[in-house]
Amino acid sequence: MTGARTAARATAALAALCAALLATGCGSSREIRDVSFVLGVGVERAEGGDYHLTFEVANPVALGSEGTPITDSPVRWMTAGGPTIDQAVEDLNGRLAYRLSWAQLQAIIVAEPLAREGLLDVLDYFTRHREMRDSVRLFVSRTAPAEIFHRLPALNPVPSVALAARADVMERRGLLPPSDLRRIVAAVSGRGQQAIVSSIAPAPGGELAFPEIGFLRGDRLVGWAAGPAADGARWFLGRITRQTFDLPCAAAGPEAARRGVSPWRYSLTIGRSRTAIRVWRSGAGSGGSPRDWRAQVSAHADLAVTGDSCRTLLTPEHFPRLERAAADRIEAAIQAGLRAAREAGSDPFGFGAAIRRQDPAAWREMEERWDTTWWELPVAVKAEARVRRTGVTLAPIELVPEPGS
Amino acid sequence: MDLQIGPVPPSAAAAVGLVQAALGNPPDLVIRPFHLLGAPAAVLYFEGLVDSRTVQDGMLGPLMAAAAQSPASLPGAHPAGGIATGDGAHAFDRAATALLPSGQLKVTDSLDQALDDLLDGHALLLVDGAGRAVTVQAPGWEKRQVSEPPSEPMVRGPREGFIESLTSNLALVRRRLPVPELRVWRTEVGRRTRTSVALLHLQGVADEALVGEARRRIERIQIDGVLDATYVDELIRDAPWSPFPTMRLTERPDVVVSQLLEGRVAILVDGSPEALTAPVVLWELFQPAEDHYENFIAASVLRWMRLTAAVTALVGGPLFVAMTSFHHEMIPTVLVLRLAATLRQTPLPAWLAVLLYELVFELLREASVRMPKQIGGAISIVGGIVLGEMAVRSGIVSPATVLVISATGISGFALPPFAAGVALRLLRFPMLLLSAGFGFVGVVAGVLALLIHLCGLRSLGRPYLAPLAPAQPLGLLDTLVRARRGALRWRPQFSGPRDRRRQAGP
Repeated sequence: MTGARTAARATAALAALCAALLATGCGSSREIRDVSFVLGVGVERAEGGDYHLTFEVANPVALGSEGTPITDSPVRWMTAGGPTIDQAVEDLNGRLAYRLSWAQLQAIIVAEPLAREGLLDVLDYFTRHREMRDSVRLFVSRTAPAEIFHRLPALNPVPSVALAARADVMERRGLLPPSDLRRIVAAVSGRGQQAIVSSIAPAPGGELAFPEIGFLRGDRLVGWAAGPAADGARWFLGRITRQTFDLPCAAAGPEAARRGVSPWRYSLTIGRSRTAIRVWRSGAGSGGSPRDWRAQVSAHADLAVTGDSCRTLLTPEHFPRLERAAADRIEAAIQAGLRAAREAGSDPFGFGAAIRRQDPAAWREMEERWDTTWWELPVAVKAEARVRRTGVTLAPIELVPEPGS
Repeated sequence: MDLQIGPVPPSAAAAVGLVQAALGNPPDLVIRPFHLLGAPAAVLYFEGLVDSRTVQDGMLGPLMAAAAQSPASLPGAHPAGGIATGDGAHAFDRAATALLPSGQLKVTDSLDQALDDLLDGHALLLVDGAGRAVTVQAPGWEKRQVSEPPSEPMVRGPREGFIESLTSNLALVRRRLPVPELRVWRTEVGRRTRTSVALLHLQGVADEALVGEARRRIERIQIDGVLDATYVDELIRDAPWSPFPTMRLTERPDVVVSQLLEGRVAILVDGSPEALTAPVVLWELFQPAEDHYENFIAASVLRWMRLTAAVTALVGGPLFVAMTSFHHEMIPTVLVLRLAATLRQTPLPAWLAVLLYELVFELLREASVRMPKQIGGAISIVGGIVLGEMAVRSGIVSPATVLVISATGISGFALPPFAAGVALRLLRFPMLLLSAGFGFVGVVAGVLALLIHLCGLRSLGRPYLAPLAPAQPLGLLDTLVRARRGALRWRPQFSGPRDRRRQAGP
C-alpha cells in the first residue's frame, strides 16, 4: 500500500543520509572562529637540511569590528622548522591556540637556493592539501622570505592580501607571468613546455617588485632573465596591456627627427596584444630533430600614442614608420627573451608542446634531448604594431612664436 | 441528516410540534401562526438566517391579504366557484401557485427536506390539512461587503475580493465571464455542515478529463464538516504529505477567471473567501496576479527577483553555515578576516546561532501575525532593537549572522503570501541541519531531494514543474519571463486545454 511505500522511501532516504554522514563527516567541520588563517608562507632550507617556514598568520581580532580602533597588528609572523613541511607546520600548530588553516593562503615565497634544489616537495605539499586554493601565488625570492614579508606594502592592513592584489593587477597587464599554483604545477608536470616563476624582491621605497623571470627545468630553477629579456619572455606568456614604452622622434622618419631634439620622443602604450607560436616541418630531415622544424612567433600589438613631443603625428606618412619602429622594438625584446631561455636550457614558451601537438611521433624522438637541443630550432620572430589611437586632441598644442624670434 | 421524521403530517400544529422537537425547541425559531383562507397555518423561520422583511412582504403580507379578501375574487379561484372555508389542501395550492411571489419556492411532502431548507435559510409554510410544506428562500444572514482582499494586496488591477458567500462569489465570477460556456457544477460536501461546493470550468476550453477528475475527487469526500476551501484542498490534493501547495488559493475573482481562461478548473466553497484553482505549477506560486497587470518588462524582472528571493530564503542561511563551518576558502579573504574578528568573540557555533536566530525570527513573525494591530508596533521594537541590537552588542551572535538571517527573512517576505513561501521557509530548517552536518554536500543533497520531490509532484494529475519539466517551450513565455501579451498566443499546455489558441494570429 502507499503508506508502506512511503515508509520504505522515508527509510531509504534516512539510510542515504546516514551514509552521507559517514562519507563526509561532521568531523571535517571547522568553525571560522576556531582556526588561524595563514596568509603567507615562506619556505627555505635551514642549515641542517630541515625546512624552515615563516608564517604570516592573521590576527583578525586586531582588525576589529566597526568603530573599534586598531591597536594591535593584524598579522603575526611566526617561524617553525622540521624535516618535512608537514612536520614544520605541526611544530607551529603545537604552539598555537587555534589550528592553522591554509584556506586563505595568498602567497608562497620560496627562497632561491631551495628553488634551485627543486620545488617538487613544496608544490606537492600545497597542491595535495585539501584546504588549499590553487589560485595561491608562488614566488621565488633571492633574499630570505621573512625579509619579504616584513617589507610587504603598508597600503593594506593585511600585507599578503595586498601582495596578491598587486600581483593580480600586474598579471592582468601581462607584466607578471602566471604565478598561481595551478598553472605552475601544470607547466612543471606538462610535456613540451617548462614552467616559469617570478622573482620577488624588495624595491626602493618599501615596495616590492617582481623584477626577474626564473626559468625552470623540471622542478629546478635554472636561470633568470631580467630587463629586456624578461620583457621579451613576457610577450610569450600573457597579453601585454597598458605597458608603456617610447621611441625617439627619428623612428617616424627624418622630418620628425629634424623637428625633434634629442630627448624628444613618442610615448606609446600597448592597448591590446597577442602572441602566437606556429611550428611546421621544414621538409628536410626525418622530423625527429629540432633542426627539421621551423617555428614562427608572431606578435601583434595595438598601440595608443600617449605623448608626442615630436609634434608630427598629424601627417599620415609617419604612422607606418612609427609602427615599423615599434614592431622592431617588440621583435628585439622577444629575441632577447628567447636567447635568455636558451641560455638557461629551458623551453618555457611551449615550442616542444606545439611540435607534440602537431606530430606526436616526431616529438617522441626529440623529447629526451629537447632541453639541450631545442636551441637548434630556428625561430623566426615577426611583430606587427598598429597605432589605433592618438588621443582625443587632434593637433599637437602649437605655441605662438614670440614676436621677436 | 441522520434524523428521520418522515412525511409532513396533515395537521399543521402536529408538523410544528415535530419540527420543534427535531430541533430541540430552539429559542431563535420564529413561529407565526395565522389563518390561510380559513385553514390554520404557520410560517416558521430562523431569526437572523432569514430576512424578516422578505418574510413579511413576500409571504405573510400576500397570504394575509388573501385571507381578508373574498375567496371568489381571488386570482386562480376554483372553477367551481366557491370553496369551502377551511379546505387546507386547496388553500395550500392557492398559496403555492398564486399567492407567493417568491422566485425560489419549493413544495415538498417530506418534513426532513423542509427541515433541511429551514436550516438553510428558508422560511417554511405549513397549512392544516395539506400534508405538504412550502419553503421560500429568503436568506438574510449577515454578509461581509465585497472588499479588497487583504492577503493579496496589489497596486494595479481589480480590487474586488471574494467574500464568504458562495452565491456572491459565483456572481463575481459570472460578471467577468458572461458566456454560456461557463459551467458550474454544484454539490454539497460535509455530512453536518452541508457546505455548498461549486466546481467551475469553461466548456470547450478546459479538458473534460480534468473536470471529471476534479468532480470525482470532490464526490469522494466523506467528512462531517467543511469550514473553508482549505478543507477541500487538503482532502482532494495529489500529494497529502508534501509541504508544497498543489492547488492555488486565491481571494481574487480576476485570478479565478484568468485560470478558467487557461483551461483550468476552479472550486468555490461556501463560507470561504478563497477559491481553489488547479492544476497549478510551482512557478505560479511565485507570481502574484499583478504580474499580468504590470508592464511586461518590469514583471519579467520582478519574476527573476522573486525567484532569487526564493532561493535565498531557502539556502541563504545554510550556505552561510556551510561556508563558515566547512569551506572557508570560498569566502574572500578580507571578508573572512572580518568574519573571524566577530565570530571569534561569540560563544555559539555558526549553525546554532543561525538556527536559534531563524527560530526567533519565525516566532517574531508568528507573534506579529497573531497580535492585534495596535500592539504590533511593540513587537517590531522588541524584535528590531532588543533582539537584534542587543544580541550583537552582548556578543551572543555576530553581526554577520544577524545580517544573513535578515536577508533570508526579507527574501521570504518578498514572495507572494501563497503557501509556497511557507513551504520554503519551513524547509530551510532541515536544510540548515544538513549544511551544519555536511557542508555543501548536505546543501546539494537537500536541494536534489527537493528537486526530486518537486519533479514527482502532480497537481490534479498534471506535472508540477511544467513547463520546465516536461519541457513545453511555449509555456516558458509566461514562466521565465512574462512575455508581451501579444506573444502569449497559446494557453499553457500542462492543463491540456481543448482549445489551445488564446489569440488569433499567424
